[in-house]
Amino acid sequence: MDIEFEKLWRISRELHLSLDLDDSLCRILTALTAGEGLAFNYAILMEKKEERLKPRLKIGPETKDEAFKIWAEMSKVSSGLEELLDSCQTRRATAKIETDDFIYLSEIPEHLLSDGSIKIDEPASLPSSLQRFINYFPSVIVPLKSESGLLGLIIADNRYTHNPITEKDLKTLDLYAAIASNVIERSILFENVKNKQTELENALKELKESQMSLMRLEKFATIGEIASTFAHELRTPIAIIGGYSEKLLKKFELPQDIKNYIQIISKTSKRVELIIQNLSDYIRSPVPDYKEFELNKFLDNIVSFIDIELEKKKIQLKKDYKEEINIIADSSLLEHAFLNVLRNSIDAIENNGEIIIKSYRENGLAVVEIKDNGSGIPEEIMKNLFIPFHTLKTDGLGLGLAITKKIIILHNGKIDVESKEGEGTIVRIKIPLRREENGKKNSLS
Amino acid sequence: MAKRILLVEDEEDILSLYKDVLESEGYIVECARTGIEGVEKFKHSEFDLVILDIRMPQMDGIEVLGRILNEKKDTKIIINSAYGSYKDNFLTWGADAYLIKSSSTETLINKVKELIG
Repeated sequence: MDIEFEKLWRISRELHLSLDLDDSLCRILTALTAGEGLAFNYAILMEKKEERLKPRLKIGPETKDEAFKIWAEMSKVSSGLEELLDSCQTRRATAKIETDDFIYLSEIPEHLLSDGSIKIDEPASLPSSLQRFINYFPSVIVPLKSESGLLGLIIADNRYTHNPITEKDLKTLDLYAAIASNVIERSILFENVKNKQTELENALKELKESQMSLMRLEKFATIGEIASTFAHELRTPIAIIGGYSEKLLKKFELPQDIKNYIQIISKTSKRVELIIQNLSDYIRSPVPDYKEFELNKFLDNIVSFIDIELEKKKIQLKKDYKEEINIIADSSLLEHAFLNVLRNSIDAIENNGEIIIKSYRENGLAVVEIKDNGSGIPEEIMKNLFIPFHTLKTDGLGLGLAITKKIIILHNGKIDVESKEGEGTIVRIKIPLRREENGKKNSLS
Repeated sequence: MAKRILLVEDEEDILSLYKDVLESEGYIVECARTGIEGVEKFKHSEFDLVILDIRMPQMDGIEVLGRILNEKKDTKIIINSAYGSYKDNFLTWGADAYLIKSSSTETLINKVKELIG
């Protein structure tokens, strides 16, 4: 092994290209065993972990046959050292030693670790603890040290070529150890920084998340209280606005255009009233009134409520009822829940859309799917779909789905929503068929 | 003979609205703007029906209701309030109906007709 300074310098430059610890360790052993490198046959890297040395990486053929096969192949492709080192990206996993075996540092004689590279000619000169890791002689032990102390050690030998290990080789190995130690230390530092960064990022994310949920909670609590007060406070003025416009319409013969204006006022006050009603429904906790009814007839009835809206937007409504489904539930609560979903579908469709209502039975559950080909729900809204006061609409409170979910949960059911922006939305509601499965009398609070 | 209604309501606009609407239905309407005034009028005059707001200053509707019931007259009582939350309990209070103030007076008129014709 005659290696010029220039070659070592080139290896050093190559080793410093990686900042990843696993990759760097693999590069160090690869350069040590490559023909273009230091040309050892076999090398193990042991890493220092606390007060122990643990085998971490191994490069070199396990048998003589394997060795000659590899070398024959390598001479054919004649890839340079650079390519060989770059291939560590893919090879390093196979080089890893998976073992729980280790040696305590205290078991190793100090001179083996503190001096430079040492050639070991026979097992007798080794402590028994190290003999399990060194099974060929002569071997060389190369300590890897940084300013902060021992990093690990490399054990290498020429078990197949039987090339001798010379004094000059040991000097070269000392130089190589210095380079390798520097590369390792650098990678460890980088890894630490990276871990710290990930830790920091995670902590930040967690912080943001808890802040968000806190904000949501707070928002919900206060808005809940405020909303309840608002609902009550608004009812009187709405009664005045609606009541007087009604009176105007009844009491006087008005010109048609003025009549129209007053009708708009009257209609709008009814709309505000409905919003207040929704809000109150959400805040109040109804006790459900369970009765048996046929689900498809019930759905037909709900659809009749939205006929006008469907017609106005030229929306086709298709029914796909698989079978008759008798269910025990609170029909007026469910009516509210389904109407909310259907109204959302109608609102999501610009014009000429389609809504399909499908119903079927599945494992003791009644399933109703409401599918539309409307605008779909943006991802950021999806996350907060069932949280009150999150809405895309400009004229709603964002309570519809929150109320719907409350009602479905009250029935021990499930609601899930699939949506693709630009393609449409499917809302799937599952409710137990029987009261027993509905659980005990729940209240919504 | 025209039926007599006592309207206890602190909100002037609601008061005149209801008075007007009920009068055009042929009822005689007496107004009280506070709970105390309502109880006084109830004691000293005969009514077929009382329409009672709940939230009023000084004496609220619930107290008025209690005092009215103590007079043991055979008068029908409608609670007409902005508060939905009391609705569930109204039967135990002794009123005949509980209405939530609405943008339409129709419900109120219908209930009045139902109770006193």
